[in-house]
Amino acid sequence: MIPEGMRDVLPGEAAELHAIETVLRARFAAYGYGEVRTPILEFAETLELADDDTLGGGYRLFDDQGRELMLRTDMTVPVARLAAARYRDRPLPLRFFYVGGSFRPWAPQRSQDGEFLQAGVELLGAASAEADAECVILLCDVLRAAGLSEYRVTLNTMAFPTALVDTLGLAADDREALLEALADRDYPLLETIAANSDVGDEALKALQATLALGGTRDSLAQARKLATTPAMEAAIDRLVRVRDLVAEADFDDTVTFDFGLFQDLTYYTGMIFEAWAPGVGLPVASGGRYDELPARFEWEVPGVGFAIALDRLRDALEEAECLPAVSPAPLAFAGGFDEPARLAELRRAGLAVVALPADASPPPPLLLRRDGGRYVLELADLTRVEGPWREVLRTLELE
Amino acid sequence: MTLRVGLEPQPQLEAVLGLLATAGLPVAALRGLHQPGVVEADGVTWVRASGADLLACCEGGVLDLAVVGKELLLEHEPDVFELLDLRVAAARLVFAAADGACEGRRGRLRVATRFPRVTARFFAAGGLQVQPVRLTSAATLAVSLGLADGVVELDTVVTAAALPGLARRETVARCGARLVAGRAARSLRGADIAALLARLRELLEHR
Repeated sequence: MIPEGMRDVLPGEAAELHAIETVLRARFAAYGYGEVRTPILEFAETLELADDDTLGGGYRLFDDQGRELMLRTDMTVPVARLAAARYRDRPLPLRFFYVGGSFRPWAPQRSQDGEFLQAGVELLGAASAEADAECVILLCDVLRAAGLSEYRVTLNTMAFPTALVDTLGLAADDREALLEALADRDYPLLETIAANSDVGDEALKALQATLALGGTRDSLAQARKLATTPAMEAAIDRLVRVRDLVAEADFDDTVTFDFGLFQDLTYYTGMIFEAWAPGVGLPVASGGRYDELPARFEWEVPGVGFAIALDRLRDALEEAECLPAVSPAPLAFAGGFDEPARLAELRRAGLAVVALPADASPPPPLLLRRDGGRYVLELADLTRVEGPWREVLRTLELE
Repeated sequence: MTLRVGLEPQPQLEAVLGLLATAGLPVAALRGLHQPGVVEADGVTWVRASGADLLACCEGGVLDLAVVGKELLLEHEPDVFELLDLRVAAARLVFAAADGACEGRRGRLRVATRFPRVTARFFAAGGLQVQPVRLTSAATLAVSLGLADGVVELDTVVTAAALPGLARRETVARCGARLVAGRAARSLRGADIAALLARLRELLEHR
C-alpha cells in the first residue's frame, strides 16, 4: 500500500523518463541555465510567502523542535528563496533550471497527483519582453528536442483582462462577476453580465470577438482593437514583441494567443503561457512572469519561468509514438555466474549482461550460453541468431 | 485530423443538429447513431454519449467540442470553455414539491435529484440544509415512493403527468444547450473552433 496519489515507476517507464530528462537538461544547459537542487522539505512559512492557496496547501509535518515543515508544492518558490539568499549580490540576470518532484494533496477531481515530476527554468533579474521571449523559445526548443512535433504554446498576459475590464466602466459588483466569469471560462454568463450593465455594444462585441478567437494567431490583432488605454496597448505591444522574437527563432507556427487563458497560481503578474499536445488533457507545460514573488524574500527582482510536467510530456510522446529509444534488454548469459572474467570482458565491450545460472529457466528472449568449447547465442525458441550481438562475440573471439 | 464533436441523446437533439447542420457540419451520419458510440463523416468525428461522459472526454483532451445541457455544467463544474448558449433546448432547473411537504417536515428536507451539488448549493444559499438524495434517472418516482419530499429536476421532466400534485415550484437555474470546448482543443484546434463559433453566432443573431 502507498498513499493515494503516489505511484511507483517501473524500469521501462523510468528509463523513458530518464531519457527525456537527459534531453531537457542538455537544452537548458545550452541556454546557459545552471541546475539547482533544493530540499524536498521547506519551512511551511517559506511556501506560505507565495500567498497562494494551492502552494500553501501542501503536506505538513513537524520537525523535532516543533517547527512546521512542508513538502515543497512547486519549484518556483524554492528557487526564488534560494536565489534571494545566495545570489543577492551577483550580476543579473540569473538562470536556473531544476528537475524534481513536488507534492500536493491528492485531488483527483482536479487531476492533481500527490507527487508530480517537473523540469523547468527560472530567469531572474530580467524584466524585458526579450526575457519573456527567451522562455517561450526555450520551451518550444526543448519540446521539439524531446520529440514532440504537434504541440502548441498558447500565450496570454495577466495585464490585459484586468485592464480591459477596468475600461468597461462597470459597477464594482459587475466587475467582480465579470472577472469571475472570465476566469471560469463561462462566456454566456459573461455576455449576460455585460448586456445587463451599461457596457457599450461595441465594447461587448470586441470582447466577444477576442475571446472567440482564443487559440488562434488572429486574436492578438483582435485584442489590439480592444486596447483603449496605454496600459492595454503596452500589454499588447509586449506580446507582439514576444511573438516577433519567437518567429525569428523559427517557432512562429507553434505559438497562438488566448485571452481567455488563466492559470491557477496567483503569483503571475505578466505574460502567462501553456503548452499543449494532442491526446493529453492537461497542459504539458505552463509558466509565466512573476515579478513580485522574489520581493516576498526581500529581493526586488523580476522573474519569469516555466515548468514542464514530465509525466504529461511522456504521455504526449507516447501518444505521438515518438518516445525516446531506450537501451535494448540486457544480454542474458546462462552460466555467467560461474565466469566473472568473461562477464567483465563482455561488459567492457559495451554490452549489458545479466548473469544467470547455467540451467536458467525459463530461457530469456536472447540467451548466451556455452555449448561445449564455444559460446552460442540463442533465441527463446532455441534458434540461433545472427546480427550485431554476433559481431560483438566474434570480436571478442568467443565464437 | 478531424474535429471531434460530442452530443448527448437529449430530447431536443434535432434542434441542436439542425443548428449544427446550418453551420455546415455533416450531421447526417450522427442521425443513424442511436446507441452511445462514435461515427466519422466528412472531417468530423461524432461521439454520442451521456453529457457527463462527454465532459470527461473534453477534459481528457480526446474530444474537441460538445453540446451539453447547462445543468450538467452547473453540477460537474468541468474544466472546459463554455463558448456559446445555443438557445435551443431551453429549460429551467426547478425545485418541485407537494404543497405543504416542506413545511410539514420536521427533519431535514429530502430532495431527490440528479444534481446533488447544485441542489445543496441552491438551498444553502437560502440558509436551508437539505439532504440531497442522489438518483440517476428516477428522481420523480422517488417522491411518489416516499424516498424524498421534493425533486430538483428540469421542468421538461417534472411535468404534471410525471409528478401529479407537485404544486410548488422554484427556479434553481435557467438551462439550455451550451457549446463547450476542451482546454486542449482550445489551444490545438483554436482556428477550427473559432470558425465554427463565428458561423454559429451569426446564425443565432439572424434568428
